[in-house]
Amino acid sequence: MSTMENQVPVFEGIPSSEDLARIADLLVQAGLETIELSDGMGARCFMRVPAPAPALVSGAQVATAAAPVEVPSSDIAVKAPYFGVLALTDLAEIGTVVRQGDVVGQMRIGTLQVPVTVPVEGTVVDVVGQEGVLTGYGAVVVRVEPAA
Amino acid sequence: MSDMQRFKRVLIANRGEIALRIQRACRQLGLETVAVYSEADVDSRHVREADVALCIGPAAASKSYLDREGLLLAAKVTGAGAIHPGYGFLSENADFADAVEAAGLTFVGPTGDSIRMMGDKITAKRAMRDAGVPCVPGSDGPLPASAEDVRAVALEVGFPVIVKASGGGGGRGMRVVHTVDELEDAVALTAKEAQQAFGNPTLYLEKYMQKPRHVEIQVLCDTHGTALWLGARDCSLQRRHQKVLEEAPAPGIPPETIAEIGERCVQACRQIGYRGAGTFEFLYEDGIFAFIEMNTRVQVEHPITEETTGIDIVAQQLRVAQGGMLDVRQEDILMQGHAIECRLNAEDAATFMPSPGTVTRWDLPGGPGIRVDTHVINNYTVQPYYDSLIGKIISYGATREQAIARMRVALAEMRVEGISTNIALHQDLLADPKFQDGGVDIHYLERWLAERAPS
Repeated sequence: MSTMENQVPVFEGIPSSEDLARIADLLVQAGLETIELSDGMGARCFMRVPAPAPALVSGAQVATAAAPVEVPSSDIAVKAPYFGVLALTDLAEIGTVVRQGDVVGQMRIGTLQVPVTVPVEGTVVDVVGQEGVLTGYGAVVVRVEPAA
Repeated sequence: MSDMQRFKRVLIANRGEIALRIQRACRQLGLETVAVYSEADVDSRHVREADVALCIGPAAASKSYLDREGLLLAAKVTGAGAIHPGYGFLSENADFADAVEAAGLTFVGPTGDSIRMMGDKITAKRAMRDAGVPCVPGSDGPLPASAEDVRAVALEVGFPVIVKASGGGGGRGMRVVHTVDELEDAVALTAKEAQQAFGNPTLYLEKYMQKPRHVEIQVLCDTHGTALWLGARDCSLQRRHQKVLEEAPAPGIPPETIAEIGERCVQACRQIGYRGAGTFEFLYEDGIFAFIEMNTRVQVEHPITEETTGIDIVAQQLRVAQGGMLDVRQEDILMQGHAIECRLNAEDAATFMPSPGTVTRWDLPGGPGIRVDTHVINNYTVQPYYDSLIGKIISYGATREQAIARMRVALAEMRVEGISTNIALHQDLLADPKFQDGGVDIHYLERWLAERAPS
């Protein structure tokens, strides 16, 4: 263990991905499953290497996001890239044919405007966002059925 | 104070139990709340109950709770007049405090200058010493050149002493010296190492505290010259610098001693023009208090002080931020009874690994003297992105024994399923005879855990 202590990088905030990978390799070499790093301020970082399988980093306890909600239809949700008061454009109409990069709305905060852009070519099948309403990050603005 | 309202709507720039705590205080004062949250916290209780709730970014704190520009824009677009930072995140970020005020909003906390001064250990310590707050006895500057003079300094401070390199840090460039005979060699060796490691042989010397306790003083100041101290908390039970269980008052320390330290703390507050809530942290050993640092925000463990003084610290923070006067006088503050806080963490009882997941059962304890501050409700999902604190149980009793007894009943009543918690650890700690005696040092918990470890 003492040899490992000397090799593990000094813990000052969240280690870089390179450091994490290095620490994970050291864990495997030392035959250890978990390591806990902490600094003088109480910050902590845990790592766990999958028990029998060698090598890969399981990450610093940063789990994946919640399971994706199953969407029966094939349309795509176009989400607000920022929060703000939503101003829809003329393209935000059911039936409108849109191309990749088209702007269907603006998220406005004072003079700041962040465009809501369509990621794929297709047809607007639903307008979920409401004009003039304060809208949060990640809220669905329109749904687009991609062109075949 | 009712006639002066600087703000009517408060943006809570935090999450979890403290966000809910702040929301409750706002409600009680008739203030509206804005809950800003990350995508991961959409189902949080305070978000659902807020007057305005706005998702400001993804789960990563850097793009949500730590996004200074985003928070200011969120305040603007929601019409909030004040920002309460809670603890952690941006609560002790001086630049953020300045930016909030520069945007014409009220920062619920001290000025950026106060935060900056206390954030720098050297300026903080100097300010404290100037105000008569006790610091670790030591050489008060670089060690003199002659061995004779060094010896005189060390003898005055009293052994053991610790010799440290001015340019050092992170545990390097320091040496503990137990007797006067070892001193000269130790100083020479440390100076040589300091020169090699940091290119600077300058050393200083301090009293080495072997088994200190962590004792802290809560203060509360308004902008009209009133500065109050609200008694002491003992937060010695720590694991890896994280507090686990806290109590107020600090067992075995005479109230007159705390009063003397408290007076010096508020004197320091007056000198630096401090406003709002704050905490002076000390190491305490053999009757000596040594200032470590000041926390310029509300603390996780503030409820135990609320229980022993009857003062709602978060509501007072908001009153002070409104420009109001504290309507309590020092002589009216009675520190009565005893309070204990157990921090509940979603973590593995043996390995302390975080244990995120969905809480399938969440039965809370109750009865006289029991308070639970938590944002968790049944079916809540503990997120892996943030710290593992899921709540705090606070017990209050007329005596320490009663507070302990009530806490033990409360912990036994609490039922949590779906995630692992540290409830069993708290139960074992409360049953520990040394803890029951009171006054354990800051290394006690780690030693106790090591002795319990299976191998």
